[in-house]
Amino acid sequence: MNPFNRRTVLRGMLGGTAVTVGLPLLDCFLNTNGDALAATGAPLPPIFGTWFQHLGLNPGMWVPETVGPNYKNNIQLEVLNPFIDRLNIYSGLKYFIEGKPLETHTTGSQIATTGEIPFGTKGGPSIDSSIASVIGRRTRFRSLEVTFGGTRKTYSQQSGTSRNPSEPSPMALYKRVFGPDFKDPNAEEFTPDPHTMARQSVLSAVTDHIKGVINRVGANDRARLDEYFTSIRQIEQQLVLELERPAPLEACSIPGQPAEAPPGTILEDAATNCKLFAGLLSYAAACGQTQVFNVYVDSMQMREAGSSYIWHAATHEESIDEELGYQKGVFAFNTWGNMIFAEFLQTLDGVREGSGTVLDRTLILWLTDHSDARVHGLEKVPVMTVGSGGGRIKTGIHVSAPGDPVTRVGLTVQQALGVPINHWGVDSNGTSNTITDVMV
Amino acid sequence: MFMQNETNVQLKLLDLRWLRHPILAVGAAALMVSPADALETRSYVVEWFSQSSYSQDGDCPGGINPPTRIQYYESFALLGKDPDEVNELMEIYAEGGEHARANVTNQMRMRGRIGEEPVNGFVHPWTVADPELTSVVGDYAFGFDLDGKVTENSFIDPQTQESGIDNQLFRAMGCIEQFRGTFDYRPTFWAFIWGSMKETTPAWLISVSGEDLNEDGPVTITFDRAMEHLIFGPTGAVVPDMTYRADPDPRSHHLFDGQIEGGVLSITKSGELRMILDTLSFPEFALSNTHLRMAITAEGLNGIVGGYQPVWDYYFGIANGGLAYENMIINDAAGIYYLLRQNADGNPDPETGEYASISSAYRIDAVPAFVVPPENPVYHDVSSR
Amino acid sequence: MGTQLMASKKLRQNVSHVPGGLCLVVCLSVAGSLLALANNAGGTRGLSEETFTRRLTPEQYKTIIADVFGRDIKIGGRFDPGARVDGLLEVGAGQVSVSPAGMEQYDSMARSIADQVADERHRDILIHCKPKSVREPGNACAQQFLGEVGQLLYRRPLTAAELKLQVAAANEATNIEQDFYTGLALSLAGMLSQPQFLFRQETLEPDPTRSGEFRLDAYSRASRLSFFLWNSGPDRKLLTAAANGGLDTQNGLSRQVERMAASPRLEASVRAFFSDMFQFNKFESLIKDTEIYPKYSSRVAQDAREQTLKTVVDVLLTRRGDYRDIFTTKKTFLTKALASVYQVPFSMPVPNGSPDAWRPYNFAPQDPRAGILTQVAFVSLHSHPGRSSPTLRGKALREVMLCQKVPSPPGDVDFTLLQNTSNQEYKTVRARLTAHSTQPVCAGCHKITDPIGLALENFNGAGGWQTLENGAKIDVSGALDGVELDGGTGLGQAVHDNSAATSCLVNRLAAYALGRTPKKREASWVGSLGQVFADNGYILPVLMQKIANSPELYRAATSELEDVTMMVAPEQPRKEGEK
Repeated sequence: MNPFNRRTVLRGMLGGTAVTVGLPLLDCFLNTNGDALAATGAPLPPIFGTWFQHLGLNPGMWVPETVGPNYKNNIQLEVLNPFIDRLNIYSGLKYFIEGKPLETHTTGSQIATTGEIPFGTKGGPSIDSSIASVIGRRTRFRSLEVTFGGTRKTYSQQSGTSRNPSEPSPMALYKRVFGPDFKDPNAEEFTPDPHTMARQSVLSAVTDHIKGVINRVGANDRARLDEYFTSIRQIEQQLVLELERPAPLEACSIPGQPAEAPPGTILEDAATNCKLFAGLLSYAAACGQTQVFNVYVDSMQMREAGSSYIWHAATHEESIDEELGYQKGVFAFNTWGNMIFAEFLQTLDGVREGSGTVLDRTLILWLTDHSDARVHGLEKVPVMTVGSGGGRIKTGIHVSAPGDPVTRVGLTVQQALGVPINHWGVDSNGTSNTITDVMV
Repeated sequence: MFMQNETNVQLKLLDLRWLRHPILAVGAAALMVSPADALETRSYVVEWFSQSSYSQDGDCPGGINPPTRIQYYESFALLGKDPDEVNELMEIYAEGGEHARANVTNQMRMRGRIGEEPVNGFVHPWTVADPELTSVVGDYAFGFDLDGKVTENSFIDPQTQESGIDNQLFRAMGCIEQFRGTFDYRPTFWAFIWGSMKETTPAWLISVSGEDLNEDGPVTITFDRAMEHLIFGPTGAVVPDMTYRADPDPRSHHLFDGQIEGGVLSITKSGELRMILDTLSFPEFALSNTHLRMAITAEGLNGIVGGYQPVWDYYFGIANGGLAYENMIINDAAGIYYLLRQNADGNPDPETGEYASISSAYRIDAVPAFVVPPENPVYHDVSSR
Repeated sequence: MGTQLMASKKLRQNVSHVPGGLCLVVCLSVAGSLLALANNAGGTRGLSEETFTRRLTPEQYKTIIADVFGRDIKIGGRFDPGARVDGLLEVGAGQVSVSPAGMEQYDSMARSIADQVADERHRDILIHCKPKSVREPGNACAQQFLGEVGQLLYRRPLTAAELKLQVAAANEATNIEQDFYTGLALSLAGMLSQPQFLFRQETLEPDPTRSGEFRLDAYSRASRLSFFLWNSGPDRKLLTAAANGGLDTQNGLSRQVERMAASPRLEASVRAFFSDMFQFNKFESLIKDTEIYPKYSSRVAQDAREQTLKTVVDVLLTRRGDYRDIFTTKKTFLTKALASVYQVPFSMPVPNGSPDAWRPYNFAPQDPRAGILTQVAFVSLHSHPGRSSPTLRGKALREVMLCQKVPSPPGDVDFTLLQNTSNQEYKTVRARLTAHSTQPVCAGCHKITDPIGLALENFNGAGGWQTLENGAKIDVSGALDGVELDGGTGLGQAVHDNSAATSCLVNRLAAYALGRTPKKREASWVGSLGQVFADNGYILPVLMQKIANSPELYRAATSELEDVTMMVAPEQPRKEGEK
């Protein structure tokens, strides 16, 4: 392997700056055992991300005409066409407030991220925290939070009193992840997780016993127990793999220091930083530093440079264009949001890992606070997922679920990523109704 | 004025379907009307409520009032700041940032002056200089002829072509973008208000009683406030045939004599209407000299209600949202105060002659519902459909 | 918390001497191992098979965990879907295994349950012993706990080898983790992933009353009885009875049956049975066009399903009524959302946003709603997303309620005429079906479904009331097996009076109890059940007790030649369009 390729891997991505100097070499470059991954065939673990973009989408401009697979994107989502086979659109969903006071832009966000409308700081974990507690247990960062708006705003929380503040500066994120504390995932030392060892030990005892049982039963039962045995052996094998020294993460390399745009509310700067963050998060994942990330777009305050016309004001001030049938300026803002989302996805998809890309093992949940922001609408709320998390959900599907709680998507995503729940959310926002259309 | 007869009031709450298909309800049995008095009653729940606008191209010759972020240049100028200073302040405001924004917005919040002393301009709007916002100059507005006179301020109703229409509220507010609309286009401000109150404030109920509601004839129209919030179905529309309990609180219970003529329901003897709200905006909705005109069909009621509305009720409904409302959904709270004052035309103060109310019209749509007393009946021998 | 675990110390002492005997008995499979029997008849491997019959249903899994560890143990995760065979998932449960994805879920549920049991909040209540050191293996305590819990999970005492295995696993895990409770939890999780827990294991012994024949052994009998009457594993009393020979005599069995039938837990089983028989699992994938049916939400669907179950439980258990009355009863239960579909008032003095509450309703004698066939659940489940379907309803009534087989439609049928609901030439579905059935290939089947379904045409595809279609008045006259009838109430009465309704129930209930469709040689038993049912006024608990007391319930199939079902072939998946 040529280490110089790795040094320059992010060239062109980080603000166009060629990155060629001062990169520490990773131990893995010296490791001759670089094929272990292919040899064991262990799939890379899933990555989960959220993308929170306030202010919804223009009504009538994003719902595809047909339901199910092979839908065509409506005009506002056409910018996501390159990912349409990995995009799921969920329409008709609703936030229920049922007499609780509506805190505009907040209540919907709370339901989207935690499944409930908490009182004060009583809220439970946000969806990314629940997922991180399953898939992010052994990574250096349980999750990484970023925002394009220059603040520390976040929707990621362990509880209402324990929030994970967002990082507004790509440079700061770079230092946090790839700075002196960076832990080389391909280093020689490897300590197997004792809990996994213990699980493996119990499970192997159990499977040995079952082998004995299978030999004693009749033919019909034997066939069924064989199936069962194959299934439980698969879990055992997963544990064995976890206990082996992991194969080097081939795609891991340290990116260069990003030339960031000033964190803030200017659209152009946010678009630049969005791409930088996407690159940093991709490599953080590729280097096994985290498997969960959260993007807080901070759309409300976004504006063109030199203009005081912010996105949020546009939703309330602008009237519906009589000929077009929608708010023109708001449409432009929303489409911009979808565009930087597409660029974010493109960056993830540009980081190759073996025969796939980082995006291939990623599942991103796109959430928003309102449907029609003009009137603070809570019904027909848009929700999207991109990616299958490494084949954990079916993609390329438009799911229509009119009147059902938005939490159905969150429940489905959590189940797909192995969170052991069969119900998510509280009261009318609670559901046990998995979206089976997208389950594998 | 209201509640002349407690028993009678309770009787009217009973839904028609109880009468057509009697339920031997334990709780409600004592309230059932005797066959001789049997009336047909249909009940409805309000699914949409909004100030009724009829905005037309060219009805604001003075121009549409600018949004707050432009209006504030004027507001600072009125405070005596020179243009450079104003530009600097507004640049800070545009850039945002917690500190800068707090400083600018704080000045705007405290833009009233009593002597030299800055005071809250939302609470004391008369201490803010009048920004002289523009208002509607046009011929048409929805509403009613409340004073029986045709004056230079009167409109023509585009639906009925009736002249002498009093709707000064539309005149006052109709050149602010968020209040512009048509019969079917919901003004943004009202769409927002309704959006935030529809699932959090008790629903409004309207019941119509008469001998045969398929025929022309006199009826009684009852307004009530429910104990439940509106209930929505999967498409986001209000679900018809849901049951609502009428709140026994008499303050939101009003009876009007009315009639049905050619499928149109109207109030024949106007009076006072007051509905207590429970929402983040308007604390109550009150009208005097209440008029009503609604199509009555199998699908529901659809039309307008109008009368004189207290200026202060309306003003505080807008101003109590403070800077947040001002920034996002209205234009200039103090400016609106002056618009309302200048256009007020009802309930003059006997001593000063100052008008306390403003003529107005509101759009109401309602769908069929069951309205029941708050008692807890037993459902025996029920008839379904 | 009142869990079985808390009260099980004494039981363990009572049964500890039994396992040795268990291993001596002849063990054969009940449903599927006839081949094994044939092989074994050669004597090459001995007659010591264990049999894993039905996979636990999700409901059974959850109930057992709640019974053993208490209701505050949270159970998450998804379960593999079931397979419906001869009209019942419970019969299909005898033919399914565990997929890799399903196993992952079982594994993660098991670890989550075990972690909770051993956490600091629960361990002092659920684990009745303490290790000498929390950081080291505690052999005695592990053995005590795993033995106690094991017999409730495996529905029989653990064999010495099984217990030894689990204790060793706990010890080793404790050594690795240096925490006794973590090790114990892992061993418990392992137990919850074992086939002995996930499948209902059954073991045979020679039938002392019939020479050369076999029956279930005592613990297997206890399980079969308990799952039938309670939809859960045996409680400690039943296990004790099994251990002490209390189930070996008819008297002993009857005492247990009587005790269990008197328990409120009978309702869980009645609900599980009717959910299964009525195919309510199909609600999970039921879709309605909300533009056409704006009242229909997933909550309404959930409430509709519960309404029918509540109605059935009310007739059959609460009032101990005649089974046939479920087709005619005027009494039911509604929520606010359902009341709007039925267009009746609903008053409930609770705060806004309260969860759905239920109220009893009695419809008036002349009201068109009577019995479960006129309820939202039946008519909406057997309809298209945007229109009703007399054919689907007629077919469902025959197959679900009368156990009769309706053939699937032939291929190459043009459904255009039926699907065009705005056709002004054929304004009603009756007119369209009449025109469609002029195709001879369709006429035969439609004759056995449509006259039933057309009687329900006053109920639209979402269960709402309709009297007109495209402006034309809907005619709800119909017929069932030659009986002319009118509307939903007429149909309910006709089903009430049709002898197939009760014989269908008897068959389904027997299949539910056995876990397989009764075989030909069991026809006389099923017939006698029907007679008892009729003689006792069609009271369901009487029938259930009769089945539970039958030696036939606990016998083994002994001849391959008899392994022919009495029932018709498994149902076909529903095809697009009308049939």
